[in-house]
Amino acid sequence: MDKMKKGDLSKFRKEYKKLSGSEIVISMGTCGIAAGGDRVYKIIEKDLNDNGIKNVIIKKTGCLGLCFCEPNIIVRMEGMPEVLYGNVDEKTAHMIISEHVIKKNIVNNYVIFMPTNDIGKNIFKDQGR
Amino acid sequence: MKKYIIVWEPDSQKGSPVNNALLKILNEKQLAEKMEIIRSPFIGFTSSGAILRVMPDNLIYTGFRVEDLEGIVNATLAGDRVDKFISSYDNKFLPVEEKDPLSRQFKIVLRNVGYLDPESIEEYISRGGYKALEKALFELGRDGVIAEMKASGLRGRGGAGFPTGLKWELTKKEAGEIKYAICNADEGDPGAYMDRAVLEGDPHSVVEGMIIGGFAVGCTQGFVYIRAEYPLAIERLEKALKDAREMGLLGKDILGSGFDFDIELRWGAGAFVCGEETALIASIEGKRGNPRPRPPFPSVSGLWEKPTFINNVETWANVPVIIEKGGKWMGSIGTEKSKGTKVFAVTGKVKNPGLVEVPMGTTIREIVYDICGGIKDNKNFKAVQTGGPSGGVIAEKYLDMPVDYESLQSIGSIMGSGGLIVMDEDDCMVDVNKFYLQFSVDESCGKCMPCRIGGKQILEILEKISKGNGEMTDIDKIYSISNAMQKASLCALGQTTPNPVLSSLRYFEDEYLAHIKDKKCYTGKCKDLVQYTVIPEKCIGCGLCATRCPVKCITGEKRKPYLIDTKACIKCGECYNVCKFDAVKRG
Amino acid sequence: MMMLEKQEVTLEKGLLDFMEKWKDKPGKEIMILHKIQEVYGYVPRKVAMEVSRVMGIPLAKIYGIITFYHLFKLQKPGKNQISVCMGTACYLKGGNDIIQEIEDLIGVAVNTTSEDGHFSLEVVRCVGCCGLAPVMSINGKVYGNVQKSELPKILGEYSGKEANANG
Repeated sequence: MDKMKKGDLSKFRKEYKKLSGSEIVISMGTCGIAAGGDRVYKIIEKDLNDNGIKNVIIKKTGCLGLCFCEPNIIVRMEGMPEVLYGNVDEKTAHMIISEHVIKKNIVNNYVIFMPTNDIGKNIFKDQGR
Repeated sequence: MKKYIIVWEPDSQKGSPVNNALLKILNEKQLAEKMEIIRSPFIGFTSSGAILRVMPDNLIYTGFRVEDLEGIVNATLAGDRVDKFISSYDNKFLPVEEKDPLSRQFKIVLRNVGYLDPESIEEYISRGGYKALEKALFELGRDGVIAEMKASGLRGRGGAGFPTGLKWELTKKEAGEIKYAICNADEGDPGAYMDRAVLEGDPHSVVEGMIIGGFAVGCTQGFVYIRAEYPLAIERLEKALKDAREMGLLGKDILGSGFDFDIELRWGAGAFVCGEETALIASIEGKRGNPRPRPPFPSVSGLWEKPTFINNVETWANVPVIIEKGGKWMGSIGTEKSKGTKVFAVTGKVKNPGLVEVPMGTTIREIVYDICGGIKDNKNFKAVQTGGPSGGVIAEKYLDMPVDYESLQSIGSIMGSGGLIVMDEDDCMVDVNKFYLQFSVDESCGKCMPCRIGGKQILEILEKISKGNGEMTDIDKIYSISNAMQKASLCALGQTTPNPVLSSLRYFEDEYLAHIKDKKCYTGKCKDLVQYTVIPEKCIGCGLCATRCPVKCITGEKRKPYLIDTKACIKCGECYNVCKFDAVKRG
Repeated sequence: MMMLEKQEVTLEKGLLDFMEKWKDKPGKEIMILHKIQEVYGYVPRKVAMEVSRVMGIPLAKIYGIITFYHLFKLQKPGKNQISVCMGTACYLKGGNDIIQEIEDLIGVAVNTTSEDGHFSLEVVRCVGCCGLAPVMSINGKVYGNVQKSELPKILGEYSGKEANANG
């Protein structure tokens, strides 16, 4: 990439487009990985692949600070509220793809709510930013 | 749009009555298309009764009865609300326009952590990253940046709370061409991990902060002194530096402004004392991390004898926000003398441990009970410890005290890096302090005598007390050794080593006295001072303790009281823990 | 002045490249020791002497640094390195019991290596996963919320590997 000059940053921001409106974000700090985040990542990657789902992006992020319910993952599907799942084990990971992503049903019992004020994005207010 | 009702019910509420009632209403009214009920194990705060959260309206209901649910469902469907049960969480330390009644947390430092891909500079920029750098370079100028930093009232988040803007100004004023900016990422406090979370989750916020700091002070080189124990943080930070360099945000002629600045990583190697700034400098220079007397302060003569300023990760991560939103904005958050937010790593015997970021002035009760769900397994609160091995305990009577630098200091603790360790009734103060002292003794660099010898002496006294050999004069000895260490140690490590013991003596002296006079440790942690016995009246003779005992020292017949052979007992406490009838006595 | 004789060891290429890159940078000593430990698992005496000779850093200075910092080792660690965290949270949540249990299970005391060189056990300061306390790691893989009862299974994963390798 070319080096940026004054003003290039705001141009970049304007032109920046997300690859897809739907994404699955997996918390993968040291603690998330220790709690099994990397296993969950592989399962979700494979399930998306096996089901031929191409419009859902999978990405990793740092630690949300919710250590008690690691591994946690955020699922953003177009037309659905953003959902944070905690204590995601292998079974839940499969269910998140088969239920949430494919059938658009939120998987019960694993939804975590973390209300917060922040100057970035409050994920629970995410109704089309 | 479809409505979602998220339900949280306390563990004590058996059989999920609220959830079931809601499902029933949904079924009867055939609302499956319009509404979904979701059970959640965590909803951000706790209450004695169930909590409902309605999305996307983002309303919170508490204090309702099962009979009221139908009304809430109807109102939700009509896009209305039932005002009577709307929860009124109030957060008094936030400026009005940012106020979100649903939360006690306020994220500045952790603004991106957990939301963006830390390995993507594109995402950071798209969320407004490097906007502050541009503003600093082309609008504010060097003096403007320092003015904003001073206006913000930001104080160092690593421990002592020195005003950051002033530190920058002092370093800027020094003569000399070469100056250095350092990020202290050698997070040594055992029990604090917010710096790791920031570096792993949002490395660019630290990089951007450092470039701005370097620009304001007039440096061309920065160093991040990072714990080698955090390999993932190192990897992500290195990637961030590389990406920033490629985009022209770091290195020569940043954004075409003519300002040059680069950052290098230097690894720590597991020495707590290297959190002290002069020791840290020695370590970056490739030497043993011995501290040296100050003055001269690093702002005058630091790394390779050049003017140097050091801030820790959390402080640096605040910088871009201050520059972008203005120092005045930051100054409107927090208490009179402590501005902004603080990240706490809440761990120990708490139900929902984790990282929380709250405005300065939030109380310990709000942090431990409202955000983190209270004490685990419904045990009793004993104390929280802040500031790690340099800090002190906060007793129950201070639960409602607003937390800031001054208030913590006034009760004998410190803010420190933000570790907040919750202790319950099972934790013994003598035992915990043995742990802290052992830590400080191991970490003492050995250069100055009060720290090297004093710490060891206090530790030996604590060991003696925990073995049941304590005498009343030992308490006086602790005070006099502590006094010497506080006054005569070279650096903060030695000066603060006695803090945990002194503060626990202040609030839990009776516990020390029980160890010394009665030779008892009521928590069972000091194994020499505890005995497990069966209370015959309570024992129903189930024999569970006998099967669980690892040394098979419990004997008896079914349905008759059992007996513990106290000579053979290794005091593991297994019988006490497994007995369902409270028939094993500890004491 | 006594000169150190050239040692018969040949330094690994990665290490030599690293030394070349860092040779003119001030404050290189600690970074080079990290690299040595990454390559060899500890700081072997012969390697330290060779590095001292090549880089012109006095051996005494290298030894001084190694012994000051907890992370550097002078002894070769076992094939599988077990590190039990003893940060405050882990201590409160029973880190001591975990160490005791491991000692009993594999017969290795803290800071020692088993006779067959298969396991070594050490205590480490906070690994920064306090929310998962008690925590331990084996060869860098972190295990959280460790229960005593799980230890045979976890350790079995590692002793199993050797059985396969031998068989």
